[in-house]
Amino acid sequence: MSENLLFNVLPRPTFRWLRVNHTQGQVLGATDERANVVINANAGVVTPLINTELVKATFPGVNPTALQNLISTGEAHLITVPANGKEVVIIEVNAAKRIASRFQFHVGDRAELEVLILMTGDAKDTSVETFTEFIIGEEANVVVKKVNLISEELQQIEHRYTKLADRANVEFINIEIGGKENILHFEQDLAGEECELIHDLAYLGDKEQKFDIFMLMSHGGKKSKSDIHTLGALSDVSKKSFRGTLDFLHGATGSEGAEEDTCLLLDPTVKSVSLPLLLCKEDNVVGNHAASAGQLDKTKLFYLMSRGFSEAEAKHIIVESMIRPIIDRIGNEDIEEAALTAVRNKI
Amino acid sequence: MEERKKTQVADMDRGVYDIRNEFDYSYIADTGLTEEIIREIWANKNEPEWMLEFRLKSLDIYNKMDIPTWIPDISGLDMSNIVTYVKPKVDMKESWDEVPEDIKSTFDRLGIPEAEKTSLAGVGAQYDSEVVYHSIQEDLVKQGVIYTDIETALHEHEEIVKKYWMTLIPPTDHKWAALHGAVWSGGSFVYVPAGVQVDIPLQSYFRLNAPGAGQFEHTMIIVEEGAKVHFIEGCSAPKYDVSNLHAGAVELFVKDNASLRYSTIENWSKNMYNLNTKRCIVGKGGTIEWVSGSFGSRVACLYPMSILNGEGAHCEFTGVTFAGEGQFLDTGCKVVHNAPHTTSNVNSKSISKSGGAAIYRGLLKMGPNAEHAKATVSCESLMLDAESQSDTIPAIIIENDNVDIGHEAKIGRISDEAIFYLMTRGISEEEARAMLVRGFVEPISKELPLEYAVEMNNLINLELEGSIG
Repeated sequence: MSENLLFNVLPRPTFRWLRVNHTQGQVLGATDERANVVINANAGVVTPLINTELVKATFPGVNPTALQNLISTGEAHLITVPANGKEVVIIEVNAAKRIASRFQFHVGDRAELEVLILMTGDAKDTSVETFTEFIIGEEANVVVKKVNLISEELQQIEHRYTKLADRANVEFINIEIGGKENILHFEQDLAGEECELIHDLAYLGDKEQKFDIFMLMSHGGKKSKSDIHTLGALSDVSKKSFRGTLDFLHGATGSEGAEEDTCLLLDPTVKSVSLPLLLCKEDNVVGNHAASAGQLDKTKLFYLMSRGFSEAEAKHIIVESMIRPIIDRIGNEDIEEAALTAVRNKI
Repeated sequence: MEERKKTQVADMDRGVYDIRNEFDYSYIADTGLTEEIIREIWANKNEPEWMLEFRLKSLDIYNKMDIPTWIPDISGLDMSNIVTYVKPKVDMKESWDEVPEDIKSTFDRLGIPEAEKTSLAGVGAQYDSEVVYHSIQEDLVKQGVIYTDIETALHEHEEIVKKYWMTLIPPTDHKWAALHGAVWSGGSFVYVPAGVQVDIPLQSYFRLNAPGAGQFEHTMIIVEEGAKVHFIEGCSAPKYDVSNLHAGAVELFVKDNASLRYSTIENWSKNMYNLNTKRCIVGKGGTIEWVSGSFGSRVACLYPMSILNGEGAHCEFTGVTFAGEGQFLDTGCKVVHNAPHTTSNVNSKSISKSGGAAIYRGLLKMGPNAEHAKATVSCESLMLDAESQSDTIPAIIIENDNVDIGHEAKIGRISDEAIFYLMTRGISEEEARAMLVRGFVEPISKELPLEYAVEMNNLINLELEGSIG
């Protein structure tokens, strides 16, 4: 696919001259030969996805054309966790070639699911494209951890849609370190009463890396809760765009949402764009957003240097200490160590 | 306790603002927008040749430009039905006694002549498309301060006006800027020479009386090095069944170490499409302070922009928006940091009720040269019922590592606990709500000139009257 596409279109556009309402680009290697992912799970949990209809018919993903192309050309898996079941699923994405993979998760009522997605691979000038749908039953608990350590010569595209039933509880953790261009689209329907979704995303950009992050939390259920926290650091000429939206729909009484985008700027040539939107059609809600950007804390830097660290070492420590709490939540020592090594190599 | 009747905003009496005079004029342009109309306006105003060229070029741009895709629905606005120029039956006067009685009484009711006597250094009053009254204190004239209508300035200070004319808001900026460039009429011109401190505010009041008309006033303020001035702008119109349009332009030039405070209470009637553009460029060590209240209009798109071009320049924005039934008020503020050590504080509050929509749309941009720049943005929205809408759409763009920015926004409702507490102290529910709303906007109202703060409180009371029920 070589046509120019509009990625991650802002739900409520703003001033056109800023050129932030979307990102224009192409899906690299859309017709390339692809490799399959490896899914480790208990027997019977993973089956081929027969019904290829979207869980939400209007879900656009990063871009509707790109999404349809992935659906028609990629592999597709159905992962089912029955009611009251408990499963762990590990997805290994080794991008020796293009990846185009779809995963549809059906998590039954009161079930528990932990998903770990590890992305590695050294292919060049092609894309690692994944599409994940989660249908989460009542009182189910889901944790999804993704670690992106792919080569910086690859494009990564992620389409993710999640629908939560009453009192469902979801935690997403993303560690985004690799990839030349990362275009990430997360759309969550908090349709159930008292459901809750927390999304923590850490990124670390250097050289010409780009992180284009779209998050939409649609609060439809009463007393639903969401919390977005993106945190990262940029150096060289890397760029980050964050388009985060908390959308409180009619009827979402008693709901609470928060979003926070924190960006550490390590070089004068980086660029950070932040669009933290709050849309509200219900009065009985609490919505907060915050965005901050700045240099390394000079007091911390001074303190560390007064203890004998060089300036470079002190910077390493500060950046690592910022991202490490999220890495520590992966819960797999080998992967945590690999992520930390990648972080240390980049700072 | 006295029982209060539920009031609908749509049929609410807005008091003096809604009193309309008989529609009378000495010249009126045809409805719509054509080259002939532009030539007629130009000829009627006896302007220099370059202005005709500018107007026609702007018309050409207007015809070629599309309507921005992100703005609220303005399908109720039909330019072919809008009268772009209405000349009142009086030329500009320097004494209220010479202003025709019906026009004078309008401004009397709005409190302008009284305020002039007690607390203003100069007053301008525009009625429909032309300024009908202008005055300035003699001592300011002696210091070289110029405060007059823009038409007079165009004739008497043509070089200055030409040098700055629509350089900050070029007609290519957007469709309404192009429209303004084509059909502008009226407005104020302020020039404060270097080092002159104007301690008492100047005020211009814009009143649109004609139904189905547009007001396109142009305000130009030049504050030279080390000078200081406070300018107050008021706007209102009575309500008609047809749509009115306001597409003014405000260009502010704040030079090195100069200071300008620009206060506005906008109380257009609820058939008005307020598509106004305000912009300021600030030099080294200069300061621009915006104090802005948006209450009227059916649709408003208003985002005062500050371009901090000189080292150490500072911007302070304090704004409140109150959207009631049938209103869609899309307001906010834009700040561009283009120089080192520039600073800005944005404090915005909005209230929406009875199906009204209050939108905060903002921009904070830190350019590559804005080293050591600092900015804080705070947006708070209060929704008084679940029929209303309140959105926050900020854009934060950073192209420099050596900056410090913070942005916070909150949306919520009046806490039941706070109302309950006040009611336990013997205050009615309605008054408790009004007190809490006044408390919410208090940081803004304290920045307004006294009479405008009173006007804002009255408007809030008017909007909230009978809102419980």
